[in-house]
Amino acid sequence: MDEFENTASQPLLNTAADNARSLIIVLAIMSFLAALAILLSLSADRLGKNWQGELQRTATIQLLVSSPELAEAETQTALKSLRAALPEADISPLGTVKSRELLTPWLGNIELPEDLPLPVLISVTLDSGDTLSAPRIMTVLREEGLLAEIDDHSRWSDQIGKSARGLKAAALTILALIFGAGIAISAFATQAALSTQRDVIRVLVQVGAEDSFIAKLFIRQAGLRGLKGSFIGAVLGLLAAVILSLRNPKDTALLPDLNMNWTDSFYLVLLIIGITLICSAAAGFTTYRLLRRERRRS
Amino acid sequence: MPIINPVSSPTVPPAPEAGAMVDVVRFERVGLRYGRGPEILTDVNMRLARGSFTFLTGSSGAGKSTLLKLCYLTLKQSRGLINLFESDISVMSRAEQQATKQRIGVVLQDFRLIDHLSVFENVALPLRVTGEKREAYRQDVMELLQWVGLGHVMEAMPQTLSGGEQQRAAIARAVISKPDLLIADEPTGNVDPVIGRRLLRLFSEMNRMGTTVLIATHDINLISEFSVDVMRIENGQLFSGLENGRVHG
Ligand SMILES: Nc1ncnc2c1ncn2[C@@H]1O[C@H](COP(=O)(O)OP(=O)(O)OP(=O)(O)O)[C@@H](O)[C@H]1O
Ligand SMILES: [Mg+2]
Repeated sequence: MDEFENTASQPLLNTAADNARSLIIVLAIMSFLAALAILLSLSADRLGKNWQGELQRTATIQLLVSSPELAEAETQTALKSLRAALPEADISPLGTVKSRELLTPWLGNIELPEDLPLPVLISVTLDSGDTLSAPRIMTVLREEGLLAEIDDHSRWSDQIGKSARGLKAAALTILALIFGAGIAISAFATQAALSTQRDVIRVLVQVGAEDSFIAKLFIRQAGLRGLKGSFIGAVLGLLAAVILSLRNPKDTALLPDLNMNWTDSFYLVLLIIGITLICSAAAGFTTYRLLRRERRRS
Repeated sequence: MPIINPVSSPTVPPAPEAGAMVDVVRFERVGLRYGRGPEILTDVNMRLARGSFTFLTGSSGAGKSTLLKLCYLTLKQSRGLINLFESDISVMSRAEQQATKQRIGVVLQDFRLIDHLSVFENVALPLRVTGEKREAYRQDVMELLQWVGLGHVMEAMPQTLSGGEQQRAAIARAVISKPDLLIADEPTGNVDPVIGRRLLRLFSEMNRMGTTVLIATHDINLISEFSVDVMRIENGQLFSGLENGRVHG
């Protein structure tokens, strides 16, 4: 009798009976897409913030000099007062060569007369952190009696912010859809499992198993499948994202550069936990519902 | 609908060892029909006192299995009152019903062994669902399997057993938790007379230790060997005694 060493219980649910593999594959595909959506939206967000931050830290001031003779003096005054007002900033005149270059896109490569009164351009770049305040710069210059126009790139910055938010909303929508599909798939799979395991359930009910005992079996099974599927999908998604980010940046001129960050994997862990919980919860609800319906029938 | 005022009905036919004994099962004017079909059971009154041993007979299709189903809570009566362990089953919560089922061992005509579990696991099932630890019941299960002659096939899968062996496994599962009430539907249908006697000895052993036993069977020979109570279903009604239309009140 003692050579019979059955120390571990056999699983009560027949694991071979229902098609676990196809469920895991579907969950893996969904998690793969979800992982990509998460990683893309995170890096789009980061990229947008970087660009926006850069744009918001720089401004180009166009000094409207009263006459060509006074240009040099007024430029010096402007530089001095700006440097006094923004001691941290990098403030430098762009110079005539640069100014001419900037006009090329509009005027073409024509020879500009030497005495053409070009506006004086001054670039302002803050070191970090702060964003520029255009009104403040205008006030500083006005106090010196200087006229100027300022381009703080807010139009561009706003647009970048808008498209980053759009990308994020799209990614969140995709995630929500995937989670909804996850709930439906898990409920469906549990229904199928419940009917293939009908005989087992009937016996368990007969020997006095509580609903919670039976539900736990299905919750554990579905959770395990959710965990497997979402883990595989998330890992593949991460791999795909890493491969994308390793491409030559020139190739991705129009796509957001995937600049990955190791903290992104935290969100993938959340994704795995989320899918696992969704699968378990859907299985639990489905089991309780069917057990209750079954009881009403008898 | 269950009848109100169930206590002390004046006409309760077979009342084995009637007296101050506690009733494990009590039926009062129970009727049952499947769906919109005819009444299979009509005004059945029945009492099983604690520690009683009762055979239930009747021709095929008379309603023996149906009556047993009512006793092990797989079927709801269409009318009348059923008390199990002195509680009205129609007002039991789901949890109470399951707790009641844990006190009832059932052996059915089709055994209902779980195909993907070994014989050992099948027999251990009633203990497992109550959350008992494996180390605590392992020895008991193995001893019982030895006793019913299945010691050599403990690890086998049910489909690889003969009909009689499957039946013994089903019986072992029904008695492993030492139930207060043991219900068996044709438990000796598939075994040779020697094994049949042996199984019945197991039942009467359990009965001597306090288990109330209710067995449905065709096997008149078997019944005549035991001096126990006999009930018979005829035309949907329950009578006491074996034959000849003798109705005991
Ligand atoms: N699920 C069901 N639905 C409808 N009718 C049923 C159902 N189960 C049993 N019956 C009917 O109820 C009657 C009694 O059946 P039951 O199984 O209780 O008979 P029995 O006495 O156990 O017969 P046997 O000795 O052949 O096992 C039969 O006429 C049968 O057709
Ligand atoms: Mg029958």
